[in-house]
Amino acid sequence: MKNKNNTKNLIKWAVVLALVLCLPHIVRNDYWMVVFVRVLINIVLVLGLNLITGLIGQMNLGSAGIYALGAYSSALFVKNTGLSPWLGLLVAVVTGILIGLVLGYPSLRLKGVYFSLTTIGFTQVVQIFLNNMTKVTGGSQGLKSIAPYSLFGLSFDSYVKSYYLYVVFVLIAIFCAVRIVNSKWGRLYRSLRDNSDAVEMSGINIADVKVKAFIAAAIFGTVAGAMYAHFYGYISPSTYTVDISMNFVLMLLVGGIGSVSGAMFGTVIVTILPELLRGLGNYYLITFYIIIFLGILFFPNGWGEAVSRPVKKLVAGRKRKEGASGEN
Amino acid sequence: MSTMVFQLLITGIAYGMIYSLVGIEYTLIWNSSGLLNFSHDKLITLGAYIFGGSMIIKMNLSNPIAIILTLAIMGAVGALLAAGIFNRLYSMRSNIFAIIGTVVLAKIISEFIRLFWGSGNMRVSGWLDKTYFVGGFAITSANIVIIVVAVLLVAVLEVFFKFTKTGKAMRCVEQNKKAAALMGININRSICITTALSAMICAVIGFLVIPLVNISATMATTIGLKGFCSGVIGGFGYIPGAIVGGIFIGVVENLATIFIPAVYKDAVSFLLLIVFLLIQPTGFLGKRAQGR
Amino acid sequence: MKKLLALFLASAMTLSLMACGGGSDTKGTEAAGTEASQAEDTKAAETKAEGTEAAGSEAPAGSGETYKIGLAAMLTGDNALNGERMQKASEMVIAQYNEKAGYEKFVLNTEDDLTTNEGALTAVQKLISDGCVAIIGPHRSSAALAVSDTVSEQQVCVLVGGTSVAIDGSNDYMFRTRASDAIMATVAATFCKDTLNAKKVGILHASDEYGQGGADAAMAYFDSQKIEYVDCPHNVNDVDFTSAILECQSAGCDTVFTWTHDAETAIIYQQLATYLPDVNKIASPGLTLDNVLNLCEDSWVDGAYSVTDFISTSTDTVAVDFVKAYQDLYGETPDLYAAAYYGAAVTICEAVLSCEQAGEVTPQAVRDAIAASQTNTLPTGDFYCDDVNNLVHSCVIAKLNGKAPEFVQSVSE
Repeated sequence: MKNKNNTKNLIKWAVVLALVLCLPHIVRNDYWMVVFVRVLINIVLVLGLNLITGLIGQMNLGSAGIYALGAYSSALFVKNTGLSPWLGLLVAVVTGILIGLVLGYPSLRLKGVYFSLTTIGFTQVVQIFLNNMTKVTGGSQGLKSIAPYSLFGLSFDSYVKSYYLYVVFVLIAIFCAVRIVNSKWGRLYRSLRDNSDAVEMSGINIADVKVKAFIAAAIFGTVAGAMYAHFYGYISPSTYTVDISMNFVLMLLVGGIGSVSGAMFGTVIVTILPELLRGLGNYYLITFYIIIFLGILFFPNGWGEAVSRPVKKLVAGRKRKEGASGEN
Repeated sequence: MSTMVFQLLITGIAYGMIYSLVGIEYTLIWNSSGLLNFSHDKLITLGAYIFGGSMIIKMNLSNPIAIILTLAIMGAVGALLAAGIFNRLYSMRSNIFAIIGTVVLAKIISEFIRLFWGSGNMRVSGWLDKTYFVGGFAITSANIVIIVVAVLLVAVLEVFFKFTKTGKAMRCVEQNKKAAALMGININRSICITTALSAMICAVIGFLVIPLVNISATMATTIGLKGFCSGVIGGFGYIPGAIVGGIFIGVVENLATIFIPAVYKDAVSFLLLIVFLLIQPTGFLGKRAQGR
Repeated sequence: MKKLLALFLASAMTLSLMACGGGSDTKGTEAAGTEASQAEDTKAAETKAEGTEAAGSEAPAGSGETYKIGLAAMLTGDNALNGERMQKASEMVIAQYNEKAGYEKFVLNTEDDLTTNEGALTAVQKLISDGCVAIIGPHRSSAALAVSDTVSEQQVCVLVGGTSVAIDGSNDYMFRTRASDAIMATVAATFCKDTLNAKKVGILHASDEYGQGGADAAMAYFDSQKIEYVDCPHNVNDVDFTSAILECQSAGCDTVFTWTHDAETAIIYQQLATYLPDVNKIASPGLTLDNVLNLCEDSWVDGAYSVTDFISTSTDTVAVDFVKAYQDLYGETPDLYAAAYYGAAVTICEAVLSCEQAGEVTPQAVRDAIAASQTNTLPTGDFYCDDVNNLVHSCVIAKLNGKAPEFVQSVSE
């Protein structure tokens, strides 16, 4: 049974992957390529967010700050040293580790909204400093002409090339995320979300585990930031608002909190749906938000549920148990 | 120099009072339902638009009638939000739903405001815009009214919670939902009343800040975030805490501009927030650190 | 659960593929790219058909070609008023040119940029993919910088309103339709020295790219003229400027120079009236906007100066005609954004017409035509392209009499 499921799953993933790989050749439209690259960048970040918010249950509204520091650290490093953006990526990863340590330790003490408010404060402070430390960050003018990634003399400077490169990034990110979610770690995270006292009593060092989760999540975030910087070639502080932090959590929510495929699905929906609604003109944004809002109210376990509800009845017993344990 | 300090102090107290009111307004909802209402700044904006945009500018009503009507409408909006949305959100399995739900609600309200009232800014002419000069200091009527109204409002709330049956019931719900339900208190109704009350306070904040910031889509963004800071610094979920925290932030951030560039003024509030959360998460007056 | 999600993901992907794939069938018919939404396709096709019909029956002049012009603007969010004005002015120009042609020769494709840099790039890319020959907007400087590489790679030009000095003319496909901050702020600073005899100036400016750009230019000028100044930056959306104004007061400033956004400008003038009423005041273009003046009492702004692109009370015949036509159409007075983007739209339409005469209308040809364009007098001054791709070279100094901006002088660079 288990094996059969695995094979089925594998086939599904393979089909999705094949579609993703063929996409540029079927679409052949630069506008949609930009949208897809945006989706890919967002997926990396949301997969990281899923580790904090989805698994541990700490609502991180500081994604924008993490994203910004990733983008700026990589871009500033590359601009100031003239070295390869790949080294910039390494710098971004180091930045991620530092942020993870800085955010991780306070989160040991802070729960629920306290943590959310701290991370909002973090985002605000990051933005204010990026904006006003003109000598270092270029201030409000931002940084322009950031070099794209290149490999063996091949520069990833077109949308299609970036798209394929970022598909590879995303695959690596998915691999890591799935490994974390399905590992001993992942189970530990979920149990932390559900009952941290019980975990502590079983002799596990919660602090250590939480900080590791934050470091992992922050690395995802800073890598996404670097991907953004080297794709757009221009960054400015005005991008990194609390608003986009909220948007990232929204992506997680729409797909259903906690699962890797849910995070990806939500990201796709939240990024692409407004584009599909553009035809509605003046009313497109309010329509988008109303759809999302109704989704949250009626399908709080993710939109997948909307489709799967009839099927779910079959496995209702198991599901109900999960719901009950998630209650607080 | 002392003139400047005094002038900044007055402004600081007035803004502090506004932050306090914001603190009270969301603390009410938080206490009754454990829901952190991130759409509160848009409710303030909505109140200001209904009052200024529709009642005064379009329908030309007199101030008292406009105030009463706006309060009634906002109260109804609050009750509807509670009955239709908040009651659903607060019972979901994680507070992430509640927070993001109200965030999306805020987006919907702000798009609605743009579509309904247009995207231009507005001002209510003749509304609290006098300036008095007392011994070389400029004091605006807005600042005086803000301080007076805030103090009155706090007193009225205190009486309401201490001496009315509804108020007492609301305090019960705040302390222990299960026990309150067992005592025959209708929790959903209590949440409805609290949210209506909170929306009305939002409207009052809207009236008060119009002379300071005019009516625009972003008029309450900063105020809303600072309100969260005030709650944390004073003691989260505790109304006297929100008041103390609000005034503290207002005064500190204004006086800080004497020593540091004004662009870092907002950073001061948020750094204070982070420092408090790390060192003294219960705030000045907090009774308990409780993050649902 | 996860499986189902995966399945859903796959079907979502397929759906979006179908939506996009549907567009690629029409690729052959469109000159510059494929369509994304089928609805747009049919609409374009309809206008095209109508166009040919109309051309056949009544307008022998036109060949019946339809040209798409793009508009990327802030249509939602906090600055939607700006986008609205851009849209109205552009639509007005398109209607005028269509009337001249006798059929729907120009079509305006409008996309919202969500007031973000990402959004601006997406909008511009959509317009390029939809086959627009040239694009009006985006308005903000940082949005313009964000689309810079894209437009030069894809060789479709944008006419941006970003006034930042960071838009330096190095991109051949980016034209600027307003005088740059450097020009305007320097004009304002010069006016402070020459006419207002400023000895010490308080500079209140936003800390974003707009306010900082203007303030930097002014400070450079004051430095060169050995005039003292106090630098007081504030964050966008700040609502309390007491401390900055008090700082100017205690420093003994005789002139206050403000370079910031609309809402902030109104509040600053209110607070100046309270705390520092007796100084000379000069402001960025925003002060002449109705949107700002509506927020002010007469006495707050009376006697203040503003450097701007355009004032609606101008007596210049071109401007008078424009104001009248705009009022007739929309029942409101055009502001400087409407005037500036009116100029941008006219420039594009003229360029397309001249390309048509030369026989080929491609984005590249339109760009070259704009770059080569000769002086055309428009509401915001003479439009011609200089070697750093600026189209506008003059600005107006206005003095507010009560709330009515009055023309003081026009300054060319």
